[in-house]
Amino acid sequence: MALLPALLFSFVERSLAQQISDTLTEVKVLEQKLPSQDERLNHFSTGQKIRTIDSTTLEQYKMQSVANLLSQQTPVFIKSYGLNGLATLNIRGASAAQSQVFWNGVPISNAALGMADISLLPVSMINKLHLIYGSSAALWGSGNIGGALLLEADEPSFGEKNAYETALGTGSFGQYQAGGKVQFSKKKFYSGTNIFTQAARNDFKYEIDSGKHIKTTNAQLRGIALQQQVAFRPSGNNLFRFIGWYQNYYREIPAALFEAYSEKIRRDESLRLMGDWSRKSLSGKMYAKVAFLREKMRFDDDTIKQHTENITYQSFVEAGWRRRFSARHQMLVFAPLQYSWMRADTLLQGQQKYALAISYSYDDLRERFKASVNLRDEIINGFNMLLPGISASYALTNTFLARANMQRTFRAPTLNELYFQPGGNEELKPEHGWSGDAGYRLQWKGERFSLLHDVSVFHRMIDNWIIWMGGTIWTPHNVASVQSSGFETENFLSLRVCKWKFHLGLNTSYVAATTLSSYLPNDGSIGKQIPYTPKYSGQINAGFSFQSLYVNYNHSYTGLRYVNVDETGKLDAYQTGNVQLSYLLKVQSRPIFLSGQVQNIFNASYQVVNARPMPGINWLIRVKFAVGA
Amino acid sequence: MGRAYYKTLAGLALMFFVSCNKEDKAGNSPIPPAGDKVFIVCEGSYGNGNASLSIYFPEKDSVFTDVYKAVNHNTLGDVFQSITAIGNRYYLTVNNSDKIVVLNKDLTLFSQISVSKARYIVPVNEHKAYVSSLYNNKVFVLDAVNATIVKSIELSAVNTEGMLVDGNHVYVCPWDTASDKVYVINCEQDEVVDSFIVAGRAPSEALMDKDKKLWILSGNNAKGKRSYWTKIDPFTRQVLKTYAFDPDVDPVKPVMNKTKDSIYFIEVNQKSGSEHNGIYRMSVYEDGLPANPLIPAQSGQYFWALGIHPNGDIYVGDPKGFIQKSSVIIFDRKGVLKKQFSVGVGVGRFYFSD
Repeated sequence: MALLPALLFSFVERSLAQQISDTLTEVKVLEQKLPSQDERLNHFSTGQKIRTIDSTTLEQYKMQSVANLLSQQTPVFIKSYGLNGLATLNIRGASAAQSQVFWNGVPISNAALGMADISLLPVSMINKLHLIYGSSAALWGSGNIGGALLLEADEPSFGEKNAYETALGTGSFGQYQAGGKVQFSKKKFYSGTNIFTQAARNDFKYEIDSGKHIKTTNAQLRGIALQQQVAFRPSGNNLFRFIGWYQNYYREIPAALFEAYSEKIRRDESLRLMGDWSRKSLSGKMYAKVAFLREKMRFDDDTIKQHTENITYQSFVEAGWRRRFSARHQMLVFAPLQYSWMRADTLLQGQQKYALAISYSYDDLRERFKASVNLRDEIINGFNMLLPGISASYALTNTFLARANMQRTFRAPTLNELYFQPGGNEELKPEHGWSGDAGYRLQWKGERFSLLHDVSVFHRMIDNWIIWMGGTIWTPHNVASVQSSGFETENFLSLRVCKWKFHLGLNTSYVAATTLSSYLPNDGSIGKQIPYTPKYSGQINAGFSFQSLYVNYNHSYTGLRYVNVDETGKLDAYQTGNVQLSYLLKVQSRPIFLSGQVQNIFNASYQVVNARPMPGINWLIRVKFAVGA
Repeated sequence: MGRAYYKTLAGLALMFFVSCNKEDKAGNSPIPPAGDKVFIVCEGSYGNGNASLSIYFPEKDSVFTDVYKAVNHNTLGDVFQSITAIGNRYYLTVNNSDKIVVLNKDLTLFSQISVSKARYIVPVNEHKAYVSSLYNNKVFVLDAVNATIVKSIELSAVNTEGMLVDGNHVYVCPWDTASDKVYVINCEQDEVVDSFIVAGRAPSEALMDKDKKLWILSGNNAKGKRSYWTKIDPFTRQVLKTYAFDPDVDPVKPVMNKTKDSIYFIEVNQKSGSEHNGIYRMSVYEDGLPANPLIPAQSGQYFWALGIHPNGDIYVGDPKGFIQKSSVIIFDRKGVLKKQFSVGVGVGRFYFSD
């Protein structure tokens, strides 16, 4: 009898596998490794282009930020103001506020700015990273015009060995890092602690117009990040989890090329608390999560006597229920509630978002045709918006899959855009439009050879595009209709020869994001590329692994960017070469993981953002000791 | 024949191109000829280091953009605030680069002077000038012969801004929301000798009309300080009249015409609405503020530069959001459009020279 539920389970839930340890007394049903901990990504995003960064690649970037990782491993443009500076996402020509960042399903973009500084997201705090290309507003809510970045913490594991690891790193420009991880696991209880701290002088040299080399000053960095997760599984189906993530960063902002000196200091403190509950059953899953976020940003510049402190708060609650009606059909109903608030010029300003979303997915059971239809009704401060989305994939053969996706997109103005003093514009209208993409994936896996070739084309139209304009006072305006079109390719080859495994990857992107119409008189932006959106970008990754040795050479290319909307002010294209090495050493059966990186190996002189020089050749090394892993 | 022939051909092609392209001659290293010329200060967009200098020759109807870079092969800096001619040199204040760039008459670089957040320069005589400075409570004294800062004069208010020279006195407006005073410096002693109270807070600009009456503009719209004109007799310090703007109105960059009987100013509506947005003109004998603009801004537009040419033409700068090339629009004295052309990013001021 005990086998029956397991058999049923395996029939109904195709993604589940079973493992029978004792056919007479005990049946253990373990879930097959799903790509994510999130229901939306696992079951209702078919047809959407999603790039998941694998654990091997994440391990190489444990000493760096998500900004560095994405700029070298994806064709997404990261607008980085240099070491210690802000870094924001630009996916498919969308502005920073038009792409959202989620942590375990909770939106963590700054409530006031509507964007996340991804230079403040250490890779060491993240277990999985998914990048969703294109809009997915029906599933992930308004604000996802360009795409979404999904970060996940460690998945709790039960009944496993306790594990400890500690890592130390150092590098050029006085970089020092230390981190540690402790995982404590019982049959029903799990605790994971993750800490990371770093300091750097960042005193690199750069060349100025006259040919002289100047050493960067006012560039120190100090930061600490701490994440604590506690999970309790009272029964096989119920899981309670709590995660707290605290970060405190002190960053000196070095002088731009046009500045004689800088006394700018930025301090960022963030607290993210999240609790969730989930209950799995044969027919689906119920879940609820609650989160509280506090972001404090202090900026000091003695030169101009500016001392500002902004604190934003966000509370988030979401409940959802996924129900599988049959092997082919399942549905997810979920309702997120989000309230963000800040104090602007002594007034408390807030933004409420309520939504009810229904997602339906169909699977023809032959792994051929899958489709999902998503509908979200979102109310933002009383403004109601219906956000539909539909996506599908069809496998023509076992190796060739075609996909398509169409979504309505929408973004409400952020708190800063509405209420910032001075400059906020309460008359702003929301941005809205449609986005669609289609593509195919050719994937073949053999014993020695594997191949991946993925192509996506996209098109997006947005009306009421918001741009900040001004001299002394910057004010956001709805100025334009903007069209973005382009394509991305992802290619990967892998070949195993004896103990050697060679790999070669190529990612490319072409983005034409242009202004179609404008409310400004004599606007010179019509038909011109949106600022800081490179048309061409790409990366090559080539390397090998031999036993415990891993070597990768990364070459990243970022095309020309315009500084102004009328294509005046150009920043040259740049390319950097980066090398990653790692080696797993065993000392008395204890693993010691050694890794090193050399960034910008050809010592290229470049700027991502105008007048903010980037460092030349630099290195990082790290050693990690692990016990019980 | 070969090489010489191609050189000649290339030269002819270049001449044809240059002569046809009257609007924009960036990179042609112009040495400005004598005669009527308009220096156009393009601030750039704050934080982008894209300030530039353009020059317009009204008689030849030609424009040169990004002149500093063309001549000196270097960028000017961030937030170009003002240009002033003293003797045989031009002094360019580049506010957010904390410097004054000193140019010879042919626009080649003479030197650079480090000054914190320099805003405006007024020549006291051929050898000396005063420099105002944002965030500072100082007026810097510039030795115009050696192009160096020799000392500073302290005030009891910060953000020294607009200045006006009248004989031995320099009137200094501190654009400080805590201040309602204009300071008087004796420019022989380089000392503050007096101050007087004006209407409102944060005085920013000082003008003098044909009757030798002082006009002080005060206010800071962004910081909630209402704007006023205060008309004062500089000898008796008696306030002759005050003009209060509506609370949300933001008047900036006032200038007198050549005969000093009319004041022109911009009312800026940062949200580009139609209310209080355009170029306004008032007689120095007016009882009240003008209700309607002489030149209204269009929807989605506001003006950021204003100058009155000695011939009476009104030069207006539209920065187009500081995110693209600006427009300079020339109107006749009645406000009828005469000409329009493009200059660098963030047009901020005009300086008429001959």
